[in-house]
Amino acid sequence: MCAAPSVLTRAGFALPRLARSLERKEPTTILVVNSATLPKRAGSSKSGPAIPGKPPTAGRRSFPSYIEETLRARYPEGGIVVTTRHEPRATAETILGALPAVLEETRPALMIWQTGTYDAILGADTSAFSDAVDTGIGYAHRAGADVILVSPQYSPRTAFAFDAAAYNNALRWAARLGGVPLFDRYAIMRFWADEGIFDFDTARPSPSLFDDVHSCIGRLLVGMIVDGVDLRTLGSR
Amino acid sequence: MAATGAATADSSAEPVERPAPPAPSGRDLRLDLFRGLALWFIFLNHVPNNVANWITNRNFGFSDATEIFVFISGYTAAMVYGRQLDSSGVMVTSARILRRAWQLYVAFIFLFVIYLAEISYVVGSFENPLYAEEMGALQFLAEPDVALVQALLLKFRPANMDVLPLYIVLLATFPPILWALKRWADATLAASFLLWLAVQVWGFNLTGYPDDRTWFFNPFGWQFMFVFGGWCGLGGSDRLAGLVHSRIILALSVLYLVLSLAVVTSWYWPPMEGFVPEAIGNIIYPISKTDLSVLRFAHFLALAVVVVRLIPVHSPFLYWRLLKPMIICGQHSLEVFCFGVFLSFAAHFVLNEVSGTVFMQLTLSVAGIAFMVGLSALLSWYARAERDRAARKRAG
Repeated sequence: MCAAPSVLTRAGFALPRLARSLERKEPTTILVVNSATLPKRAGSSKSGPAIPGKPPTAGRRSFPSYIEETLRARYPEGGIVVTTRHEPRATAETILGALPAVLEETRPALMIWQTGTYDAILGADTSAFSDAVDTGIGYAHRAGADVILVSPQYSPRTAFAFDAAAYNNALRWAARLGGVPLFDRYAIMRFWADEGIFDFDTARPSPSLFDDVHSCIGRLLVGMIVDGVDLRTLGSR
Repeated sequence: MAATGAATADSSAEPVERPAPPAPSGRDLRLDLFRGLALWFIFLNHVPNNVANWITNRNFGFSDATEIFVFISGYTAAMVYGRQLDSSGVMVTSARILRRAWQLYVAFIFLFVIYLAEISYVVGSFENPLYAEEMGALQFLAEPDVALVQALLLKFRPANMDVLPLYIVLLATFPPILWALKRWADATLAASFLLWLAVQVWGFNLTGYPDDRTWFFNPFGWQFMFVFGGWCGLGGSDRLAGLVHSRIILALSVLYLVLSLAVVTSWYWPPMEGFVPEAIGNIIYPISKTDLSVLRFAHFLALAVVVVRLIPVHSPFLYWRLLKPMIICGQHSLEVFCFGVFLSFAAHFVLNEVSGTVFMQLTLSVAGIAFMVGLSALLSWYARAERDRAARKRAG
């Protein structure tokens, strides 16, 4: 079910900081900066760390909790903690302001940065957007964290009101420029829709759609993380 | 048929932007043809998730249909109103231009209401937790008390309708510019160029809604394309003929088009992915559509040089019957443009609510274009009928 073309799931760039932390079997924090709102049933959309092992209230789990579960199984020593910052209605530029403090507080080895959705909704200037992403990558690197960028969701129903494609292009370039992997969620979801794996635009989505999609995204993201960690290991041997 | 309507067209004093069917000597059919093509492309590009928009020019180079549309609109506006300026004077011509801008404004509000209806429907009928954020944003846009006022102020311009406010502003400010263009053509063009240059350096823009979003098409940048079109329409293109027909310019243009094609394919075609070296990418990215980046402008110029070379003014190709639908669409650009925006909403709606298969995407694309041609045929017929009636009245 979670298949996706390998061009979309390969890391392409190494994650040396995370790899080092895992190698030393230290407690490793992964920070997820997420601009998306949690679905209504999952309680408040305010930011705050996810409680390990306990998904937010009424049973909907978003992709960060799947990442933690799978990564812990894969690297049982040391201990991996996934911390999530939900910043709904925030552009990349807005996030920048708070980012150094968040990095200081959480000290992550990897920052998974989902961005672009609100920029697309607002129609923010794409050059300001890619500059902000570029700066954010710099902050993370200086704070000792690797970065994986995550692009907006593919949302066929709302595409007439705002189109994420331009922001996706900007992200792709910012990722290449910063030498960090891009998890192209937009392209992957688009692939799923085209292949008929998930139906994103039906008026009555299946009750498990949210969980299924987020668990797939979590699983593919873990694949990318492992890929990025191994890239470094291969290179250093 | 194009030639028969021509004689009556020139005698008619109907103050519209297009002197309907072409005069055999005067009207450059290429303008209508390419504006028609641009309108078709704009329609196709505005239907999201549509396979048919792969054929449009934005996938093959930096510039897209907007450049063509704005340039030709400037060209024809200067040509038609410039002629009226000589015959009817500044005040009357200015009033006519402003009336045109007003019509566009009314059309914009009409389309906006349809857009709000679609948003309200989608928000009301679509409950999918996966898209909580996207839907939240639509809900926000669907606050009619705020959104309507912002729309009336041209501050809230939903995607797809962005060209219209730009066009309204360009036309509304056109009377003094036209007057200046007639007097000091080169100085006006230079002033317009300097304003565009200032935008490239300092990046100022009009503000919009919601929040601090700015105009998607920065009027301070895009005015240069319009004024440049106007400058060409008032005789500038003849003065450029020597340049356009130089072999070196042609070679440079072709080279630029090929390079731009390669860069653009590297955005979506994995084998080309590493094509742009980082050092170059650092300089050229991002290529701003908002401010009309110099790369886009140059791409349009290169395209124009090649097209003018390939298709001379009286090329028999232009009288080919199969091109007639495209030409008549170009001759009714305002109506067809607005109708195209409406059709793209409708097509999007059908694709989401009924069926989104590739077959359906192609069917809707073809049907949309057919509707656009149908409307322009109807408008041509009506204009002819009105002219005949007026002629009979004068005779009797």
